[in-house]
Amino acid sequence: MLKEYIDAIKSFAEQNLPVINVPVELWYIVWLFIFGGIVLGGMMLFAGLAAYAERRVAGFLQSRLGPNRVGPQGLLQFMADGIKLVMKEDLIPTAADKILFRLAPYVLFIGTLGIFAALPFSKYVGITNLNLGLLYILAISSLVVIGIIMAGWSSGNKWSLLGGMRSAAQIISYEIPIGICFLTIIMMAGTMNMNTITELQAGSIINWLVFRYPPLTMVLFLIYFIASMAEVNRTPFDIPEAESEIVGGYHTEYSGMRFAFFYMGEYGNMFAVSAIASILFLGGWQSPLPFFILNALFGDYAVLTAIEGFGWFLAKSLALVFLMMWLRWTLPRYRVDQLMTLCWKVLLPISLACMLIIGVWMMI
Amino acid sequence: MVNYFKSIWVGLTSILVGMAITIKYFFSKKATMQYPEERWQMPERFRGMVKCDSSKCISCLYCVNICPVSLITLESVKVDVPAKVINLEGKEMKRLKDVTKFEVDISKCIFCGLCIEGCPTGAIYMSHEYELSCYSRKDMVYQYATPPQVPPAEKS
Repeated sequence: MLKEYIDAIKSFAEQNLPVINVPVELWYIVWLFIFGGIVLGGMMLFAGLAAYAERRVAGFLQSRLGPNRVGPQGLLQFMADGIKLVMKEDLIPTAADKILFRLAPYVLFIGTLGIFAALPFSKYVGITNLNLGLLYILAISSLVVIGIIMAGWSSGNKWSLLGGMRSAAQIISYEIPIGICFLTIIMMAGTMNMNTITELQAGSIINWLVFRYPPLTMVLFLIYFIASMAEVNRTPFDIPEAESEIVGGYHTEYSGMRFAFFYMGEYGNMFAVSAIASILFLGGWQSPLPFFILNALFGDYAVLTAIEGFGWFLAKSLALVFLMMWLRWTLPRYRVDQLMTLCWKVLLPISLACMLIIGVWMMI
Repeated sequence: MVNYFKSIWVGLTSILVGMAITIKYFFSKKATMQYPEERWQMPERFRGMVKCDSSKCISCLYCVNICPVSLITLESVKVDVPAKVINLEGKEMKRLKDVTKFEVDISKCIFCGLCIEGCPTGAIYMSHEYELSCYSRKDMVYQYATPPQVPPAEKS
């Protein structure tokens, strides 16, 4: 997808600008950096706004106001926080494994950013059009675990190590129900391409995959949502960072910009899993109405479809993000054994049964 | 097996109950008060800061004597033409002295309110201010009387 765009820009430049004779490789590298910067900037902006929204939602749910001093309604709070974190001293503990300690936040952040490369944000809008999109996402999101374990191990702190190990156990367990949900989607759609899966759900709300085989697909959606919450360490599954038990878990020893990277990774991940849920089950950028509103109003232009599609995509994903925040400030934290019980005794058998029944249903 | 599904059902429904409670607070009126812009309405008998209306003071020295921590310094001069002051019972009193110094060192104050209870004219009272902090101890000493107008010394 991105390659076609770069090619289009190149041919446009060659036709309209007189003498630009850039080597093809350089051309691609420059434009890859530009598009990468756009995605990175967008993700960092989202992470900042999500951190603000989280605090605001938390405040509202607890009958207080949350940050509302910096900028209108406190909207610029994340800038203030960011500046504060950049200005802070960058501490590295003496007992730390220096190389791993420095590397860990970037590994985690790249894992998060990698997910964004395969998401179809709207019609014609996306970085890649991978045929193995789902598999790629499942694979690249595991980088996050490696980052967390690296951070936990290299800090030279027993609480960090405990947090890292808990996180590893949790994420590896919860990847199995997620994998089964993905498998069921692949069975229903017949493809791993995220764009094709979205196209399949065109039409209206009844064509969304959540409503394909009721109530089984709804149960699967619920399972995916719960498991993805555990995957990104959100409360009630935040045992890797449980403040009251192990201080801050894997990011206890981090400060300044490295901590900001963990923070952005966390919120970026939150958006990524919500976006995946909305693409797989809720139709991605497809309108819930049988038509696109902007197209119905102003005519059948592809640009309008893309704009409105992006709006729907954001709306669905952000609704799920809000649901995650809402759950976070409602539920207490699980114990480690309860967490494992939930995964292995509840989510796994039910998702397996759903997959089996859907398979049989599709045969009939 | 029945227990298994029952416990899942109970878990899910109780989560929904909890979410219903929290979302109610999301839309309810917030308990936060935006402090510098909004302020508490203090109760009538709130003991903030000791203040004095020196035009009512008859220099009876009641407050100076009753104060457990001796924070009031009062100086006065006799006047030739006594002014009249109405006391709390509605009777007229002669004000034979003019207050030249009424100093309250609020850093010592224990906010007992004894000085106010006995004041015959109601000159001394507690204000509703509660932001009493300041940068130095000298700032905590408040003056409530105009110092005497000393005529400028004649040049010789």
